[in-house]
Amino acid sequence: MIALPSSPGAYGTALIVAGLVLGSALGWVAWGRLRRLFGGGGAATTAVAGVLAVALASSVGLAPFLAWRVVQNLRYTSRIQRPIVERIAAYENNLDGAAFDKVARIIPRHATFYVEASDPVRMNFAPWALSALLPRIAVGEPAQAQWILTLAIDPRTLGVPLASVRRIPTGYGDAAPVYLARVAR
Amino acid sequence: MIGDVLALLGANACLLAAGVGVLRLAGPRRPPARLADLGLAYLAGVAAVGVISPLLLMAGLDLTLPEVLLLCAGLFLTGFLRRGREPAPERRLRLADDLRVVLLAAGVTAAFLVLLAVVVSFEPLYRSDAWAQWTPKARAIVLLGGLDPRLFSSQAYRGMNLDYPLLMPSLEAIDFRFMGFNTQVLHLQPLFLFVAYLAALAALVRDRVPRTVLWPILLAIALAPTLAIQTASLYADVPLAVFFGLAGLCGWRWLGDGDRGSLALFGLFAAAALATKIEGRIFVGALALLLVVIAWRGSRARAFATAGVVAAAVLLAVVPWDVWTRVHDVPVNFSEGNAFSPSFLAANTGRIPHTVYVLLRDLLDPTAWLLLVPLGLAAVLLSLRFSARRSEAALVLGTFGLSFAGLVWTYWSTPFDLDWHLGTSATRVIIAPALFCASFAPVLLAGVLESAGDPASPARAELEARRALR
Repeated sequence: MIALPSSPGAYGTALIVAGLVLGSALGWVAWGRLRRLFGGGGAATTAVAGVLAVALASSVGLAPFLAWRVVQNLRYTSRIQRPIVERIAAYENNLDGAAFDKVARIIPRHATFYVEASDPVRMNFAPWALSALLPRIAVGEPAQAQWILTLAIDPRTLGVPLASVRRIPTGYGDAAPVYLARVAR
Repeated sequence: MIGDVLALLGANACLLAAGVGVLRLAGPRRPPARLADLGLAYLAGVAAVGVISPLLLMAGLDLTLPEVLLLCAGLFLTGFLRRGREPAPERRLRLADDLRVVLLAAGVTAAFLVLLAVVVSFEPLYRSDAWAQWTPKARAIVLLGGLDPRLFSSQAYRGMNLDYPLLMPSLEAIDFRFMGFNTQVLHLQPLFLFVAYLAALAALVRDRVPRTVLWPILLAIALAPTLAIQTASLYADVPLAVFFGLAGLCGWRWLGDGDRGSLALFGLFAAAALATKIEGRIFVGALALLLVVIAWRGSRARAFATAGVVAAAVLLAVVPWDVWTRVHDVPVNFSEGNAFSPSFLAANTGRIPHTVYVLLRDLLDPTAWLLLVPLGLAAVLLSLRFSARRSEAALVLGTFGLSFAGLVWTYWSTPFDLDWHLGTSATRVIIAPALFCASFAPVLLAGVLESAGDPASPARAELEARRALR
């Protein structure tokens, strides 16, 4: 979950402590009831009752904290706007997700493209492009492509004759330029 | 969003219908009469459609809406090709239930799962393997019309792990066909599998385990934080654990009852586990070995039948995909690494204790599992000590141990940096064996109670005879 609290904080800690106290009390009561239900004080029945009581106590006791935790996540995710939510992996990786929409409006569906980013730090540029630009098809070499998409690389340096080069405006994340070039055929 | 949720429910209703047919075909069960039976039927449908869909894709189809509807309708109708046998009367449990315990556990479980459904339906697609591998493959199947070799044979898409099994991408592709590309609502899909698993577990042990024993364990499974988190990740680890757990439970029923329907379901869920993730081969291999060994002690015919069904599952879920990837030059990311290189293994024995430590640490981490795994292991120990049906404990402990050993071997032989490999995957790959162990806890505990508490029970007589022999 994208926004689970990384630490319980004061409120979460209070829920854990209260839950453990209540859970322990509940477990003690449950253990007694289950032992009686299972027919007495033999070692086997006592142990089985103990396992079930611990399962019940630990789960019920911590349920309020676990519920609080996922609700904190929900409070964040329910506020994310729809255009962002479908592109959040791009934004999480310092890329402008909307820029790929602009690219997708230019490259025709089912056309081929080559994608490259300048360095390993920008390693998520290509994977996001591969997914976001479907059904456009990526190829492994610039010379095989109809279009070239780069981050922080001038496509003119890739050794392929180009018909046009344009810079895709970005409004978020990595300030390096995103280029889209059409290969000359 | 509501429309997309309804569309997703429609897709899953088709899977349920398919599963009703599969269950009817498999055994004596009548159409699901209880809520828990619906969970089993639904998962049977998911498994059947999930195993068949990759075969259809390999055959050149592209899982369009009419194709999916035809497949589900076909599976539903197949169930009516044979006359359903009358179900055998269910065993009556001797133990009474403590309704307060049952209601408390069931109430908290239901409330938490409903909350989880709301939370998950708002979850964005952000986990790297999900947005960069699993879901893009599903999108590609839909947008390119099946397994387009321009993508699936391309080095440019190598990072998508194109050679990995296709059950989850197929399932997600079906969801996309029904609702469009809503990756937020898509997160409900693995949650449906998880919730159905809890119901299916209840259905499979209903005549063996009192509700008082079952529900506290179901509650502990439902609330285990790592299961909720991994379910919301859209990774395939929880679906794999679900299919593996069901394969184990159906295999156990087959050993106990000799019911061929249980054997068929074991084969179906084993095939689904194999078609979900590559680790499924380790886990299903471990389970199959234990089932065959235990069956061999009672009936060689039953052992051969078990082995035959496992072979059929491999033939259905592994071989066609392996052949297809070779024929189409699919870039191969999976390799056995150095698993069969004695010199590499000998030079890296120092990896073993570190790997064992990390896996055990993650298994026993209370922030991930609460106390679920220790409780499961405690049930195994109690069963070994007190139960007359020790073969059940042997099945669980053996499968868990072999699965664990298989994981250790995988990390021992990894060509990657060990710490990186463990850090990125250990918490996920242990889910299947951990859930397997926990899922058997009610069975083992009920066996202990039956052996200890009822002088008239055959299990008790067997236990006393065994003690007398010592």
